[in-house]
Amino acid sequence: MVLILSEHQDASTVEVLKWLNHFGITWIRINEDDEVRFDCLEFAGNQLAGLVITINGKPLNLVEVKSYWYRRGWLHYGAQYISGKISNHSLVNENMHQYLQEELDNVMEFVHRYLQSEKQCINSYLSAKNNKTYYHYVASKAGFDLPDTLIATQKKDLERFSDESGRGSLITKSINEMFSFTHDGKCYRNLTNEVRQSDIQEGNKVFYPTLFQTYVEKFFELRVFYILGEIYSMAIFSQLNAKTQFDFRNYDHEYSNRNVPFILPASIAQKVKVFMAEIDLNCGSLDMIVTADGRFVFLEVNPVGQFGMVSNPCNYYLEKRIAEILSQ
Amino acid sequence: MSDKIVFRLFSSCLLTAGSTRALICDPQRGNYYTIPLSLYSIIAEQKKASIEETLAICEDQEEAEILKSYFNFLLEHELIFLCREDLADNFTPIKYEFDVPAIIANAIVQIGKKAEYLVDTLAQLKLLGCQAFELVVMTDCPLSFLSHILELCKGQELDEVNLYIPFNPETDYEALIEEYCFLSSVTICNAPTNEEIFLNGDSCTLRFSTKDLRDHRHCGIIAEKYFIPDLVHHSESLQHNTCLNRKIAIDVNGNIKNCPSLNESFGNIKDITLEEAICQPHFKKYWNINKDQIEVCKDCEFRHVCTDCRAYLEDPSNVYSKPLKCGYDPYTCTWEDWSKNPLKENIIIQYGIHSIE
Amino acid sequence: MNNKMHLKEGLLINTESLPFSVRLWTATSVQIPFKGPREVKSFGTREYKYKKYYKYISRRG
Repeated sequence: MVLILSEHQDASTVEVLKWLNHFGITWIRINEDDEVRFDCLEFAGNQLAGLVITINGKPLNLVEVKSYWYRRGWLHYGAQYISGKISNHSLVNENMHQYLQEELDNVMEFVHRYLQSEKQCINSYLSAKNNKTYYHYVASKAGFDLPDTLIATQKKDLERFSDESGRGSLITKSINEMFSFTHDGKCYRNLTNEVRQSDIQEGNKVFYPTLFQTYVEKFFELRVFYILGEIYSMAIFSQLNAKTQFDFRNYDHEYSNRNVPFILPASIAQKVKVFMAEIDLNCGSLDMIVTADGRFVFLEVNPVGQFGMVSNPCNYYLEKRIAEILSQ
Repeated sequence: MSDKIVFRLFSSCLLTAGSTRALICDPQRGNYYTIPLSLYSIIAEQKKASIEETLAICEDQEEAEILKSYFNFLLEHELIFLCREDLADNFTPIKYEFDVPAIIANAIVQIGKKAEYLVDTLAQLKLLGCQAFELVVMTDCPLSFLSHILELCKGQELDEVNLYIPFNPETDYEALIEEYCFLSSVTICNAPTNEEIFLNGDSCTLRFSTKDLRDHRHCGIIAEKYFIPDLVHHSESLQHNTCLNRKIAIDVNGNIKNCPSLNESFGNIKDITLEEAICQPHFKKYWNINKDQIEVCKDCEFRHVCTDCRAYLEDPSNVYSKPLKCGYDPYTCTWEDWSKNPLKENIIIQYGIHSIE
Repeated sequence: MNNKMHLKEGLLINTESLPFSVRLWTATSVQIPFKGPREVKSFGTREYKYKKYYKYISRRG
């Protein structure tokens, strides 16, 4: 049996499930909004004899799971047993709640560790945190070309970084994940944006930590899907179109980007493998830029990125491949 | 490193050569363009040449000017791109693999007065992985009956459900479509007008037709409006029959067929399962007849954006014959009305197509 | 249509406590997606996203 942890809106999961059905493989899918409870863990005769959780009240013995795919999401087990006040004293209440949460967190972390170490698995919840700053550091050690990067809080550091000769223009984007919210009928998003000299002049002297990077003039972008040593790459020609020059999520529906299959040069493929091993991810989507002079510049890795957008245009059948791996 | 800049076709653009001209199909932008064979051979070869080098081979100035205008066309529509020579080989062609997670991918189900086999048929289709189906109501269709059928279809995770029903002046079709939003299209037959309305955020087409399109003899049309510039379709087309591959039909009497227009029955849904029918030796006989094997089609530049028909043929005695309802001639690159072709008159009568409308 | 976030328009934000880039954030009109009762549980999801089938099942005309 295959266990999948995902989000209820994720369309790629459904495509993989169709293949699993086609292969006659049974599966259980847990979404982030399913109610998960810890039920029982037992060691007997120096061995793990049982590890049972319930999903929306239905028991699942994880020992019986053969392979596991962490697609997205989390195990929603927060409310277990903690219903209402434990004591009338708020401090007692607070401490007890914290204690109970830690007890449960400990055993639930074991659930994740058990799944990722004992099963044929694709990705894991514990490795999938998007530690972008750390990943940038590991990428530098893996030998990737990287854009010069500054995370700063003061205008003077930004000015110095910007003035350095030969840097050209700068961009800014989130340190962590992209962020968005809606207010009054508008959706606000912090996509990648150019930082002009005038922006720097008009900006505050001191600001919340912000990431700046040299703008890398791209010939095309690469989206690289890595899974258990296999590499599937796609070139994205977004430069043809001024609107998507800084971020292809500024998608131009009238004149879409060109997405075509691409084979990484062996030296770059090797770096991808070293990098992924180092950050302990067996599956993820890497973004790179290929410059006009043929340099491959690493931008970031997304552990739970969309892969349908690579699979479909390139005819890679990644959903089928994932189902095959899970069926082994 | 070399600084030579070569041109490359975006591999998302699919090339097909016909005997007179060729086609560049651009699925990512939903377009296709006919091009001369001379241009086809220049871009199909994928020689690592620059535009300047290619122009230099031209025999005279006039030829060079023509070729230059071709290159402008290709660049303007972003069908080719310019690339450093040392990266050119990394732009690998698309592998035209075709597969879908389904033993039967699409189905046509005709239903009669009671829709008695519908529940069972849907359950069986689901087990076979069926992704899309057409439901054709062959009898009168009062609202209560329609609601009954649609309730049965609701909750099936089919990607596409197309419905063909007879016109009923008392039915509010728009309200119905809003309620049953899994519907991809609803065709109202024998309607007073011909009209097309897009509903549910364009996810459903409501079509009124004065014809009785439920009659299978209306099917099998080959026309430009049915061309599909799509990568999955192109990949399927290279190996399989684009109409009948992984298709099944259940007619109004429960007979299991390849298509309602083909006579051969593989048993009745009352007696055998769909899976048993599929396992019969001849059930899949059309599945691998591709356009490269079909007379005339094999010389046509449109063959991989087109859809086939094996039910109505120019020569009914030849299983590889050109579809009867195609009016295109790939040797002269002209379209004519197939139904007015005097050479087809007898065949049209033979199939009984003349007596419908 | 993209345009930059105008903080003065209704949103009172203390820019000093925000990243430098806040003025560059993108504001787009919210598109209300078509919603309907597409409840399907079979794939373990409440919202089965219907994928457009890639071809015509029949061609009647």
